[in-house]
Amino acid sequence: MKSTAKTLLFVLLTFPFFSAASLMAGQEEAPAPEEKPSQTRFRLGAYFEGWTLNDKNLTSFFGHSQRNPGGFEASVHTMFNIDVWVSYRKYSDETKTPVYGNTDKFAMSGTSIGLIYRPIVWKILEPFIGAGAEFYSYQETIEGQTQLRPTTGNASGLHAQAGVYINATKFLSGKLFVRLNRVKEALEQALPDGPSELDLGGKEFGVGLIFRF
Amino acid sequence: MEVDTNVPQEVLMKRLIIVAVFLGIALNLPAQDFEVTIRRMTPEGLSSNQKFPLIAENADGEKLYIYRGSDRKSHYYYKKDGDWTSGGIIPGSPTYDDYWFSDIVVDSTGAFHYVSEDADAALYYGYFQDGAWAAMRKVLIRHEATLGLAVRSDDTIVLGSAFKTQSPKGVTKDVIIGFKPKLAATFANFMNITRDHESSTMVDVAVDSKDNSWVVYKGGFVQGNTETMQAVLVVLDKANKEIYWKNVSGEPYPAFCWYPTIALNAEGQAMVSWMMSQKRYYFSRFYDPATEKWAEVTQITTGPLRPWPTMYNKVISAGSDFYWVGVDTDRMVMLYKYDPEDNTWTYLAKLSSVAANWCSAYVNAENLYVSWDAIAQPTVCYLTTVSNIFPPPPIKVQSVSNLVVERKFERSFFSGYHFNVLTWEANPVNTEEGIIISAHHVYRRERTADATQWTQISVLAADVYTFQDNNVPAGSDYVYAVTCVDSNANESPIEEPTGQASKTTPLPRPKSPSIPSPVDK
Repeated sequence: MKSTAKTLLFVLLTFPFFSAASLMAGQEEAPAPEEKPSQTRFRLGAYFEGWTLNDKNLTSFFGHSQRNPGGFEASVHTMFNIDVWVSYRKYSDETKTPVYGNTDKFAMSGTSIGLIYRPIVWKILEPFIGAGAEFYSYQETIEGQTQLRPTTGNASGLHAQAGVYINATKFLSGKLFVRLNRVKEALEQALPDGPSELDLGGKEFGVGLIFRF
Repeated sequence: MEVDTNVPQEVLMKRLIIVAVFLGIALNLPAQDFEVTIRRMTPEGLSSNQKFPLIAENADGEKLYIYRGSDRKSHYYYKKDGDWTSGGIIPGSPTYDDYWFSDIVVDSTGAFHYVSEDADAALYYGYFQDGAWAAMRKVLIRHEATLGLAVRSDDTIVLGSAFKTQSPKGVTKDVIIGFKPKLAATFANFMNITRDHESSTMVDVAVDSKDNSWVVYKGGFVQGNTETMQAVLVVLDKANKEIYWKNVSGEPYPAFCWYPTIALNAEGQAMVSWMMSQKRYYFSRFYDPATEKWAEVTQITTGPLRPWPTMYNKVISAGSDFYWVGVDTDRMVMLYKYDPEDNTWTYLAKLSSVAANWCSAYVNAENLYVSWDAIAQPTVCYLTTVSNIFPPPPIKVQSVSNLVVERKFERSFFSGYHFNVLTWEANPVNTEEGIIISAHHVYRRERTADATQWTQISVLAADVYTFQDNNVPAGSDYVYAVTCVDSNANESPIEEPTGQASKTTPLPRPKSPSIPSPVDK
């Protein structure tokens, strides 16, 4: 894992504890004001997205420039309209090997963790921006009798995202988002196509349904 | 069993013949496997002699028979279809003062090239094609004794001759080589190849597959007041540079080797024959360039004494075999065959019906022709045809047909491997000849490697017509050959690949499978 991503991960993991402790200290000095929708502590949601990868060799080999997976996300509000946000989704594609036609499956689990800042909190709309780390785990498997061996690997990188929560009720919101990822992995063995670097970064854009409480 | 004693004698004889034939077949008695036919070519009853005949045949079956007529001019007979027809005098033929020796060769176009000598005077060259002569022309003056012609692969005619010069010291005879390029009208570029400069004469020439010229001649060696005559071999490369020299007859046969002749067989091996005039022995010596070893000098047979032309003999080759014709002590033309196993000659047949004066021989794919003249004057010329003498070449197993190599690359996204798929078909020649194939051998080599560096990578059953080479490292570029092995374990030659493409450069992308998966096999 890259050092930048590790540092960012440490900050993201420790941030909720510091912020929660700060809030608890404030509650002892003054009674809590009436809670606004923006101050909802937790959000849990699912989304459907379009996910494109930068690696042209990979997308052309499997024949799809975009996959449309579903994902899950959760966030917790800390302070100053800043949330700690995590997400999980899975990119998958498959094709047939060129000669024998064995099924070749590629799957990549993407875990994101980052901060979201909601600079403006309206009653209905809450636009946000965010940044954080990406942690991918990928594998390629070939079914059937073949001399081709499965491949697994991990990659990490950064993301930046923007979007808007659309609050429908007190507990339910919609969400629109777009996310840019930068994830590159140096390979020990060059690809048959030649490059020895895998560019798993790309773009994600989607719509989600968020339960908040 | 009751014996019928009243069987007529004729019937009894027929029965005996039938029984004899049956026994002959049953016991597999050896039968003469060639046929000798003798034909008189020139008319009888002329007042003077017809001598020194030659014959040649081209690939189209056209035959040309040349002799010195009773008018001392070159005459010819020609046969294309049907019977022989007399063409009369060759245009431009001189009236020879003394005509002994001549030679004739056929080039790749089927043209006949004829050179004759007017002894101690000149050479004359004539050219015959499509039934017509180009008029003979004088080539070289002061020629002497035997001469030889041979054809290179580019149809250059090589002439071996002797050149007699008169100097204050006396007569000098040197061996010279001349060349007639394909389109040239006559011979030129003569070069003296003799070392001893003493009485070298009597030349014969052969050309090997590399267009090297093998020249044998009677070399005169003078030591003090003694002169010996040896059979000398000189080999000139295509650029006419001497690359080999050998005193072939050498010790212990030091003296008076006459009329050396040479032949090269299909393996490039050489046979030199000559007569040792003092003893009247015909000798030969076999040479294998592959091992650079000469066999011991071996005697063929015994010949007559003078007159000189009678001592002329001729070694010839057919396929891998050597044959020899010459006149024996009874002045009959004899045919011998060389046995390389024990370096001996085996008598095959008598080729003349009467005592002969001179003979020469010509070989085509199927027959041996021997032209000769009778010694009884006025002499008449003959042609002896020996049919079915050459064993048909053994039917050799052929390699497979239509060998196709598909260069494939199976891959996933992260990895892949190269392999080559070979497919071929049974060779129809093997099928037509009834050759039973017992196995296929698969060979490969790097494309840039030497053509001899094949490696056998698989042995397959005879009914397998495909092979997959999975051991193909990235970047390698192999070519393949598939041979057939017959039921006698004879393997066809490895054929150089001609249509196998170079390695595939674009990487394949997934598509519909082109060959079955191993799972499906």
